[in-house]
Amino acid sequence: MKRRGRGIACMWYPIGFTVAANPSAATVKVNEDGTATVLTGTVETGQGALTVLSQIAAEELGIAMDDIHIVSGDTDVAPMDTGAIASRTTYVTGNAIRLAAEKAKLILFDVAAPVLGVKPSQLEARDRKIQVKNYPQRCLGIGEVAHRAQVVMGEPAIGSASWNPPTVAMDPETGQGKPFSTYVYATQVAEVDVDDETGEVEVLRIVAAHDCGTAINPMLVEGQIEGGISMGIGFALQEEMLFDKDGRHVNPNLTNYIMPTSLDMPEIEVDIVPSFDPTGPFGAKGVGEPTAVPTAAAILNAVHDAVGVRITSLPATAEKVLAAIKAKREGATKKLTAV
Amino acid sequence: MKGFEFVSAKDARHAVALMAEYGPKAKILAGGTDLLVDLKSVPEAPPAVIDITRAADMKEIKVTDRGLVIGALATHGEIMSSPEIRDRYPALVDAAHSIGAIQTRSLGTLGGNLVTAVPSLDSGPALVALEARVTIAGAGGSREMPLIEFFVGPRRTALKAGELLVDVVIPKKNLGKPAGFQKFGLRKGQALALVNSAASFWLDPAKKVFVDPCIALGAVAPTVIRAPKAEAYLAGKKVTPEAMAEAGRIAAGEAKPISDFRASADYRRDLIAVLTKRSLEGALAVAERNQKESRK
Repeated sequence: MKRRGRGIACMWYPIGFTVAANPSAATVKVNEDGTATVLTGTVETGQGALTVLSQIAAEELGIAMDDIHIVSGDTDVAPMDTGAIASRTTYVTGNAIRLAAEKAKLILFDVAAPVLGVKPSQLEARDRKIQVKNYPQRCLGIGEVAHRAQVVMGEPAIGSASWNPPTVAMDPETGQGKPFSTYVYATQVAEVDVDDETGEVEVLRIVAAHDCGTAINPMLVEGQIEGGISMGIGFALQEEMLFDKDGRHVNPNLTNYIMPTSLDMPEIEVDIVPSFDPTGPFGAKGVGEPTAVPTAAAILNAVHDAVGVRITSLPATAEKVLAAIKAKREGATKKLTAV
Repeated sequence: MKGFEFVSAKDARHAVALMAEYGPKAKILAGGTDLLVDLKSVPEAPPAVIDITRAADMKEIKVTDRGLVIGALATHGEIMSSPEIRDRYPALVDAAHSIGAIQTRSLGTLGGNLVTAVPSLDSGPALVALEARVTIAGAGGSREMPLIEFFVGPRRTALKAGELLVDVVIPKKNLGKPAGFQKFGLRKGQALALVNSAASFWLDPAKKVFVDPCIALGAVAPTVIRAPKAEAYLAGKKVTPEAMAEAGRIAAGEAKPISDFRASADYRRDLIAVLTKRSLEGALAVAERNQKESRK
């Protein structure tokens, strides 16, 4: 018989490691056709980082994401980046790119200010224009300004910047410090059916509420959360490297190293909790690894809610869950006979 | 992949002639879902690959005076959508649906699944529970045998050199016999069966007893097996949940499952009991639906 259960798990997660320095550097140049080129040492691993980083550069320069040409990954020519790791790309690399874009923008303001008859501080970059704040009709096209910067002023609009998360070392006496620059928070709720005759756990639904600071690209945040949940389901129920007594890996292939297929995925409801972190680019923090953190705990809490057994080693395979259900039944029987 | 000669057969007879011509090392290409994987890793290429995908006489699914005939080239997807099978044999549909992924089901054939004959094959138990027979063509003519005897061991069948599996027949006496199928794998898609089980029986409408019960188990022995003690226990017994559960327990004692890294033998026995009970329940649901419809 199938028994329904629900479980909750919460987590917090630090963004970017701080064992050593954790910098990102970036270069942004604005071209005379109004497009911009971003150089970054980080890489795209399918998570959509280059999309988000392009959005950050475009937002800072007041141009469209399509106007950004982003060059990444070639460490011979790109500025140094610590890497697409530790859920740090949007936060650390994003900050570096925003700062580099801001520097290029300030050159454009210096060039445009005398033409528009205002101070550079009165300007803003919006809608592919450098314009006077509150007087958008007083403007120059961003390409025209970039061109003028090069051929008239002799000061091409290029900015380079780096960013290293500020931390405070641990006080050896009090144990206090600030090991990470920022943190994200999440809660996931899992709804499962447990088959009490086979031990099979079917995850029916997961509701995931995540704080990631400003969601620069909500659809990518959703994708990251759904991907993390699939990893979490594998962690909770299926994935395990198995070794024989001589230490040989016995399931080194995807036939026998079981991980979820699309058919194993539940209905997922994503709730991106609005928040703003003043230390992140446009308020953003990160979302990568944290998405996989609470899933297994929520599922195992749901299993406990459904059939009253605590599974304390992962994965909670059907065989393991059934053994726990049987042990519980036998325990209950023993108690009855003792009375 | 090494080079090989590629020849196409027009029909089953032509395929048998080509097999005689190219000898026992030639490989048959039906769906290719097993063959192409194997061809990539073999040290020596076969002398020829004989393509039978164009043999139209081996594709049909139809009811004839022999019974329900399923051509060996019918794909799992075609079995799932066949009007002859879809409504009357949910067990065959469920078994076909549990094979591989949608791509495997679109290309892979029933014949290929049976000839490959891995112990965990998903198409075997439901057909064995319906006492299916197979037709085998060879240079000297064709012969027939019960499907259960076609399975000789893991990846071994009764096919002799130069012989081709042509079709699978559910005999006339079992046309419309209610059947159920259950599979347990370690995930929902692309899963190998830890255990699969199928059961069929006629429900006596007046006495509500099991008539001619037949239980088949897969992945728990070198080949698909029947569970004769469980069948004997059920025959003539009143159809009750308790009887179905007891038949499952008896069947679990008749199998010889192994322990490996996927699961222990004890767990597999637990699964046999549960899945057998559930395949009997599945057959009962079909039987009750059929009786309700015939009363209309």
